[in-house]
Amino acid sequence: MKIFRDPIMHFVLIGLALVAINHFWSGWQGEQGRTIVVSAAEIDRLEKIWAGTAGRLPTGEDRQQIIDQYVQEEALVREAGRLGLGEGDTIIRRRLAQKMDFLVGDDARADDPSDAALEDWFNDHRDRFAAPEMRSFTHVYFSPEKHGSRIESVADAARVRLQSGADWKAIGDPFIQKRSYAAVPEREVARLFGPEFAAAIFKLDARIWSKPVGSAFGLHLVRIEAIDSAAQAGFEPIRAEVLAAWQDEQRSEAKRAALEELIGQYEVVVETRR
Amino acid sequence: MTHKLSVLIAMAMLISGCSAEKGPDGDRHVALAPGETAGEEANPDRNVYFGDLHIHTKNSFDAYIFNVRTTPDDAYKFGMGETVKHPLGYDLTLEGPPLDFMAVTDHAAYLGHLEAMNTPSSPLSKLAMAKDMFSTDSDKITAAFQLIGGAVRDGSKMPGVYDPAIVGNVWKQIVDAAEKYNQPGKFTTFAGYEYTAVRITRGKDGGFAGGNLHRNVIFRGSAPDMPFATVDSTNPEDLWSWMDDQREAGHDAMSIPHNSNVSDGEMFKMETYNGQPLTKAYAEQRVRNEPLVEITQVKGTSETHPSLSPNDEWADFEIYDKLLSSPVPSKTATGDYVRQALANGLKLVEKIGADPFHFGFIGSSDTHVVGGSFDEKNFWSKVGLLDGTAETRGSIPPGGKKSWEGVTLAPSAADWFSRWSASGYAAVWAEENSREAIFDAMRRKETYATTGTRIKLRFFGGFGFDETMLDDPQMVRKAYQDGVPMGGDLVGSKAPGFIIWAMRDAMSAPLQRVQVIKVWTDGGEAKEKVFDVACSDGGSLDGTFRCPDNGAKVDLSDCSISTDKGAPELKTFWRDPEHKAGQRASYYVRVLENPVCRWSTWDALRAGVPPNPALPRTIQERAWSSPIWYVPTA
Repeated sequence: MKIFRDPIMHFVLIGLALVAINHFWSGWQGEQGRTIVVSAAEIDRLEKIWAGTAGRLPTGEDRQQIIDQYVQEEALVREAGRLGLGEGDTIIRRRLAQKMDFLVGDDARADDPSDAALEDWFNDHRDRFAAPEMRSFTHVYFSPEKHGSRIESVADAARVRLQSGADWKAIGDPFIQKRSYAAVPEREVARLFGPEFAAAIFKLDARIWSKPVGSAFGLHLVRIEAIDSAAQAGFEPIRAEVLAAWQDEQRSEAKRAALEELIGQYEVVVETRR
Repeated sequence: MTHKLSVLIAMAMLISGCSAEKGPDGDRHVALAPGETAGEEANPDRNVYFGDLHIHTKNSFDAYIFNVRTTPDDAYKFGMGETVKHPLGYDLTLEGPPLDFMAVTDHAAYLGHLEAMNTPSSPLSKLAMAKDMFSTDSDKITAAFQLIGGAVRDGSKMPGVYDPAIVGNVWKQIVDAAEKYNQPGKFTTFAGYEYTAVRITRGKDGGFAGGNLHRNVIFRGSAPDMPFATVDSTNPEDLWSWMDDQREAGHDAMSIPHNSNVSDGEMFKMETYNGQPLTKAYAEQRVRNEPLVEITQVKGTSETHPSLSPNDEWADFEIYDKLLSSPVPSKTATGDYVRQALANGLKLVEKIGADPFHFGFIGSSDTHVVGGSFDEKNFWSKVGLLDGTAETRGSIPPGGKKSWEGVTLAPSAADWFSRWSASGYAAVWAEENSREAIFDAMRRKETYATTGTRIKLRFFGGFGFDETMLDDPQMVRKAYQDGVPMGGDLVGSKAPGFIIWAMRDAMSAPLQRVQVIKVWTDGGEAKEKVFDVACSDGGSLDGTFRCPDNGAKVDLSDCSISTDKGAPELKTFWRDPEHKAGQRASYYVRVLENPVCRWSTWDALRAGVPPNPALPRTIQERAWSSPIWYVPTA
């Protein structure tokens, strides 16, 4: 029944339940309210947490301590509830709001989509799953410190030699980093050489020596050795990833709607300062 | 700690006790962005790798208390370029390319204990101390935190509090996390921890103050079951002996001291921990275990101090000299700064036949929020809740004021946080990006330190070098063949020559100048001199030792810098004009960038207020190479 999956319905039900609990609370203080049950499942849970921190399993003595601690906490919480200590406590208010916030998120869970529906969604959001374009390149460097105002003509002359088949390794100035880079995305080239250089070499044609390209370091002649185009990921290999992204989107969408609806049930009065 | 701040901490800590459950940390394989070093053939000419070897997570007592809940996994993800959360809820992302190598170095003493105290199912949470620590009463929190801080410092095992099982358990998680993220050829992670010794130099003040003797212990590969911490001994010499034993047992390691600048004269003292004269055996054990020193990080610079280097116009860089958590300044006269220690080391060679201060340099961050804050433009400092906003750092006036008139900053901001730095990196020249290659490079000291910029720096010394090598495509190969790189000993009788090559970081400012700092002794007296050796913008030395001012400016209205000043690279061959036959000396390189806005100026600019008048408006980011020692033979 769809209505029981509707988060708003949950709020209404929870609200009703709270009213009811409050109503019966004083009468229920009798036998029931004076029983603290430490269930086997609870003990098991607490022991697991304890072992996780201590790095060993609890002994009998530790176990007794764990149970005592639990009972003590439970008794204190019930007494505090009786005295209304939670009223007006910012921390508790925040925590309650946070828990409710989780509930809203948790409730907003949709059924898994059909394969066809998921694939449609994937096609609408292809860009999210695309691998960026990568380029492999070789560069020949010219240092402005060395060549000064002659740098352009020096680089142009070198380009002529390269075009007629000269070995690039023997041309240009020594470069402190590498002279060949394999499969780097534009963002990475920008971090290594500056954004202008990166943008320029991602427009070059492959396998020919470029005109001089400027970088943070000086001028470069660049040859693009290989281009791995921005890969449009295929649906099947990354199906799980697509499903996770779809669920994320569904969740946050449902959560936003649920919160909007929840707040819509209140009349909000904002008083203006005189 | 101010009262208001403590209450804030208390509140935040209470809330954090119930922070959002994270989704399952899927073991999604994190693909590394392919950088210049990803999965490559070993390079005999060596590549430079940038890393951070000083990182704290929630496992450190002084991170957890300030609401840090991020883990070693988060630290590695940050280094690989992913986004992590600051305790105040904002995003932290690395500005530059992914890091090449990292080590998480949580305080080994009382490792993981604060989290245990805040876990209701742990016996530690029942302690009165734990209840105080996570209460809302700022005095109680401070007192409880000081108890732990004091025990870390004194190495006392508080009965009923200190639990070696927790330490062993968390240590195993740390070692496992390093193992999980290590990808030879792409991304190197080392198991490591911080040994947090402090020398009580001024009587007990109940705080964490005293002579800082902290070291980070980094393992080359495998690690033992338990770290050696201050609870085992507060004497660093015992740590070295333990490391010697571990090396025998197959767990090679080194320890890297940091913040000698606040050691109250203790880090490079001219006597042993127990006040005995230094011996050859002491020196040999020290250099075997401590080939490197961290000289720049968030808590300032340990190169030198204006009072020690009056003829060095750049000695006042990011000086931070207040003892840890204390308003008391450190004794700077001796034992705090590396330049002086290098000179003292040369003296000791003459006296005891060995140099205990024969070390190279690295930088690192010492972040306590898993992500190092390297970038002036976007600084988040170090200790989470305490210094995570411009106001708490003292870079903007408190309470939304628009001017500094009549403003008195909280002591924590004035004494500490406003003086801290957006720094630093460890740079290493190694054949490949692997644990073995990087650790071995660190052992031979082929390393340099930067203040958060990624300047590339080569430095070689030799007897047969000359000017013509500079344009030789085979220069690097020849330099290795016929000389020694940074960190090496140049042994011989001739005059040494040096090749220095620096290239800017494309994302930072251009280079202004390259300098050589020479340290030597003359008749038992320590001497030093700063030589500019290469100038940008055609500046000529003309037989002096200073470049002319290149005129680079910073526009403080928007923090833009001169676009037409500075050099992309500076390369030079340099001979010591004051070389004296038979005189020992050490030489290290300092590279200075053009000035840029300091982080505090960026903070102020964003808030639309003037920068704090007590702070430098601009800084010159820099790199320091490990020294080359000239060892004359008769």
